Amino acid sequence: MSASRFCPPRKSRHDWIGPPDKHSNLRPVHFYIPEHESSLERKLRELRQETQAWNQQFWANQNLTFSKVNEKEDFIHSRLQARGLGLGTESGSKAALSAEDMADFYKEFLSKNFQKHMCYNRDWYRRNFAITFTMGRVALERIWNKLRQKLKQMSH
Amino acid sequence: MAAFPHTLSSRLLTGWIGGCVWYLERRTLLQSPHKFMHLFRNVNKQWITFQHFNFLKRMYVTQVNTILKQQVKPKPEPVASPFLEKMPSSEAKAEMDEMRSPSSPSLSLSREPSEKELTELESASVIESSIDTDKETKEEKQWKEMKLQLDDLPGILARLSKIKLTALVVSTTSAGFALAPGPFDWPCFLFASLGTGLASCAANSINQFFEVPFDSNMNRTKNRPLVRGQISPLLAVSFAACCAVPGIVLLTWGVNPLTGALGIFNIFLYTCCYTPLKRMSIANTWVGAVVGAIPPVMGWTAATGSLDAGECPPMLCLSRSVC
Repeated sequence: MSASRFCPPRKSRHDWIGPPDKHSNLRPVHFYIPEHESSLERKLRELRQETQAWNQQFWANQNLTFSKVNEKEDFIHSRLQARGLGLGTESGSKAALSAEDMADFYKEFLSKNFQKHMCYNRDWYRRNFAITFTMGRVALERIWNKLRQKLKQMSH
Repeated sequence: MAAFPHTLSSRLLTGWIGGCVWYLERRTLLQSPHKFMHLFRNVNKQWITFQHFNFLKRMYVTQVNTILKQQVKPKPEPVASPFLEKMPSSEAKAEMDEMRSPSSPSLSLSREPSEKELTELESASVIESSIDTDKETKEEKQWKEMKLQLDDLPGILARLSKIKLTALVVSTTSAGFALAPGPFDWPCFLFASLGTGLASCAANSINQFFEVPFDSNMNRTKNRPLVRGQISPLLAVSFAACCAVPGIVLLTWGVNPLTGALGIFNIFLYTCCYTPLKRMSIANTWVGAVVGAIPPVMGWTAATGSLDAGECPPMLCLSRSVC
């Protein structure tokens, strides 16, 4: 949201990275578009933008789902304990019990969403490699262009 | 033999501390020469008291903290301002609440009070919009340019390679080397330690490269360089390659091929098995235990040149007790 409102200073020729998003905890990046952007540079920027949007969507959703289920689980457990153990239980034993139950809850959450998490991991690794590989190609292209310019200047 | 590691580590520690102090002094001198000049000018006029050196203490503390990789938080904004921001909004809200309740009976009354209400409403909205712009400018200040700062690069690379963990790994390798039978060979020891350290740096960098979105969501890891955008993924991978290749070469040719093979195997195990497996099952903890046990074994093979199966359990115990 704040990424659209942010405007970097005009002189800057770099990307800008912002504070963590409150839903996904990922930091948004505002990409710099150079005047003479090559096709490879454009491809890299679009890849990064798309990955950023995809990541943002996944993690915002993930954190939201997790916190919702967490709250529901907490509520159920507190109600069960209030009924089953009575209200006069020690706070220490109550906390220890809920920690064990939370471990069960985490295990259940992870096993239910296993396929989703595996797909995300696979896609994330693919995108990460693609972005880094394209970054390498862009870096080589820039070095090559600079060398060509220098050779031209030397020949003249 | 038992005294050897102790004197070595104490010498290394003294040397490291001395180096740090010299580096700090140089930096302080470069950054605030005017303070030093002021101090020297006043030497003849009065006794230099402890208070005069307070500025040094402050600077030392902040510099040492940055070297120790603790994030020195910038001085927090004065507490009064958030209260000031909150007060106008609560005042505005109170005003609006008051306006809403008398507004219904006053509708039937004359027009004059409504003009006053309008101006009050406008001022309330102005205050609220100014609070919004304050929040926006605060948010805007948190945006950082993704430009590589060469001054910060050593610190960034140290954090990327998890230098403290690497130091621990190197110490377990040294322990394995020291415990091995046979004469203590200094060049071999140094090559083994340096090679293991470089391999560990490479493995840690690749681990951080893979784990960026996961690290963002955890408090412990959200300040890592790749998460904060201080460094590009390409640079992280290049750094890992620049550490891994010399490290493995050093281990293979400087020590022996077995140690080199163990080094490559450990890097592979950590980056390609442990890191992805973390997301799949708890079996990764076993892989992690093996990853931790291999460096002492590497120290052992560096000293002896072979792997004696009878010594593996003590190595595992050593790695577990240290880690």
